Amino acid sequence: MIELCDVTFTYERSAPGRAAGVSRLDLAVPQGSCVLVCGPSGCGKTTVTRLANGLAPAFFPGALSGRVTIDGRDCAQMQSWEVALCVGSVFQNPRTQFFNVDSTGEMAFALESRSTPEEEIRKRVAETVSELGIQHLADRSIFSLSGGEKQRVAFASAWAARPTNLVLDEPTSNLDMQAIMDLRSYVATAKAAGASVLVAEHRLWWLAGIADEIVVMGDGRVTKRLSAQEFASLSAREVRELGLRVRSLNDVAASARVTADSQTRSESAPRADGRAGAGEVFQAETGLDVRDARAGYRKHGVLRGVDLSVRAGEVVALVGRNGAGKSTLSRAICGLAKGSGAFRLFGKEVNERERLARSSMVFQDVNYQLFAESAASEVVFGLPKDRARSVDVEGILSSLGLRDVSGRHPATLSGGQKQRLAVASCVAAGKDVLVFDEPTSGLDLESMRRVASLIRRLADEGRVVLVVTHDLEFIACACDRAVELSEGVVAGSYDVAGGVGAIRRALFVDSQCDDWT
Amino acid sequence: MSGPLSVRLDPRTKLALLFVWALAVLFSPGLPFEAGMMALAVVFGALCGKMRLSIAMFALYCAAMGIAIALAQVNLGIFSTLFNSFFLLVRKVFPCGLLAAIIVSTTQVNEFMSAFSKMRCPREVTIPFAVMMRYVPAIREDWGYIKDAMRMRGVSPTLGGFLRRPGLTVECLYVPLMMSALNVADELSCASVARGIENPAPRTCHLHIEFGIADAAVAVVAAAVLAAAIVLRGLA
Repeated sequence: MIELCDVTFTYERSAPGRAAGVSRLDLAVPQGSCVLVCGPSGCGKTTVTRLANGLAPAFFPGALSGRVTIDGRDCAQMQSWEVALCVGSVFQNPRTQFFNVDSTGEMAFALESRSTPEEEIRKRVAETVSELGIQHLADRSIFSLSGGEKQRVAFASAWAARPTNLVLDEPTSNLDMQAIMDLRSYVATAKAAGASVLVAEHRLWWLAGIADEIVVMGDGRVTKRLSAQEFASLSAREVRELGLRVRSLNDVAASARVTADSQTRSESAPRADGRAGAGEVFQAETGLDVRDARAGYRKHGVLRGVDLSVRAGEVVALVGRNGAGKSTLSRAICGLAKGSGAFRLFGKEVNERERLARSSMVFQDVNYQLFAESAASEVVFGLPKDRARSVDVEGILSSLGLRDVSGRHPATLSGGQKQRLAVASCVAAGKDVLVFDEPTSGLDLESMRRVASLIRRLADEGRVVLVVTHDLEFIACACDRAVELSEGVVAGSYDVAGGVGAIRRALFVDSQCDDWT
Repeated sequence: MSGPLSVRLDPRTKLALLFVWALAVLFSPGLPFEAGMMALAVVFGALCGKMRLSIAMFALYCAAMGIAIALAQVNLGIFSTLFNSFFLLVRKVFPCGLLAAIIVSTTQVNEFMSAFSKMRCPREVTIPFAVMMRYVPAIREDWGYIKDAMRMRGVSPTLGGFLRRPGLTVECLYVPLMMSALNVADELSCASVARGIENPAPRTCHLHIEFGIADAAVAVVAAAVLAAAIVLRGLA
């Protein structure tokens, strides 16, 4: 049982990108129930999870008033490890919550901390593994696990100690559909076992039928409290007006398409190679043509003959299971992965080196691709001096809404700004092909739509844009077509205008996630 | 994680073994003795299921020593001091280096933490140590992304690229690594606090840790090697 009574919390240090505090918050998660806290970024929902698992104020110092009680005990009187005894936590990023390098050791971690005898630990870990059906994930090196597999292990390590409360902070942000469906079943298991489950999330649809109460927050306050029935009875439009992502993937409609932001478009940057930015000219032209692409690690073939053709100005989503070859195909297109096959760009055959010069990826974690000490120098980083001089840095930055931060260090920018800065460097280098990897992971509705309109604009300027994504709502907003990869070949191509039902099936989403009541 | 032929030792034995090995190298009377220690380390590696690593390191060691002996036959003037000191370093470091590599690759983070806790080592020492053991292999994962990002910016992530533009290459490497390290350190400690790492109760381990027959055997061999090193040095 988690209870927050009239809680106000302000962080001691507030810096950009840090979570917002909460004020006058009341919340109760009774045993055997699940409460979903949602709202736009910066609404304070992460802070709610930190209050519930004791990290605020124990780990994140700040001023707390009001009472937080866990199983009837006042949190203020408890040490961090005492709270940890009754609250299991799962965080957003599966890469950074592992303390061990082996999966079984990770699942045993919480039990080891509380000095549980070793036979007991082994028994409990084995029980958890079989209860969650993750036998294939036991005794593995964490470096051999995918993000989704890591998150399954992270849940198991929280659940192995059978805490009476579970707190999940945006647990699906970095996951593929199959992993989300598994996580859904784990949460259902925990709830059925009598645990109080508190989830802070942007993605809502996966909790249909599990969440009992939906708490919508804004600016650190509760703006709306809904039972599952009340939530189900809202219209799709009302949900959108609350600033929330879709409640059910059935609500996703192809008509949700965004258009390239007209304001930013009018002052859009001139292409570095001097070509005009008028989209119509490129509409019919085949931008990227891939024939029989093959690639793999050592003898194991990951791509086994991919044929793909993308028009300039078109945005294509690459979908498919983990290991289907999406990232290897992206790397091959960008000239990063060794392999065979014929690649043409705007009708001309291009080798690896030319592809590397004319295409670029924007990573899910853009921190890896920011190198310079200011946003302005980042734009031209790596370009030869004479070319760097001819780039209109200011124009590019302002077209991406970054003019005000041109002197700031990239590390101090927000996630969205970093992403746009990475895009700015691609624009400056005159890249014709852009491949985005999960650009909308962990984004709220508004930020997602902003990314969607940015991507549309990049395509409208005559580029080829590919997006590796699991986000159906984003596909409906921004993409023209979804290409499904399976076992290293193209298994299907679906026009978004023809409805998203087929794409949904390609993303492997069960229909059980449609019913909230 | 380990091969079919594998003996499991108490992590405390492993740490003690490494310490004794370092002392024995210090007292060692000469190359034949160190070569013997290297051979014993290979046997240890084979028993721990790290056959390939051990053989590879041993082959490298033999090659280095072969070159050293060959070079000793010719007079290289000023260069001979340079080569001699280099090969002396290789000669002394390799036996311990191989042992350390075997120990680190066969011991899991939680085994170390539990062993440290049994030795009543303060948490101020064990937690940073455990974080380091966890973080170092993660850098390899980061490196894959950074390498791709460098190539897309036209910076070559190779030795040649480093020699052409050393400053730029180093910058490309450490800036993203620092950013990611800061991030990881924060989130990792946050997650470990939420899992009760600060619990004052002695840590246990899901793997059985006990001083067994194998540990006793290793201890006897290690003691014998150290004694032999001291005695032989006295005789020489």
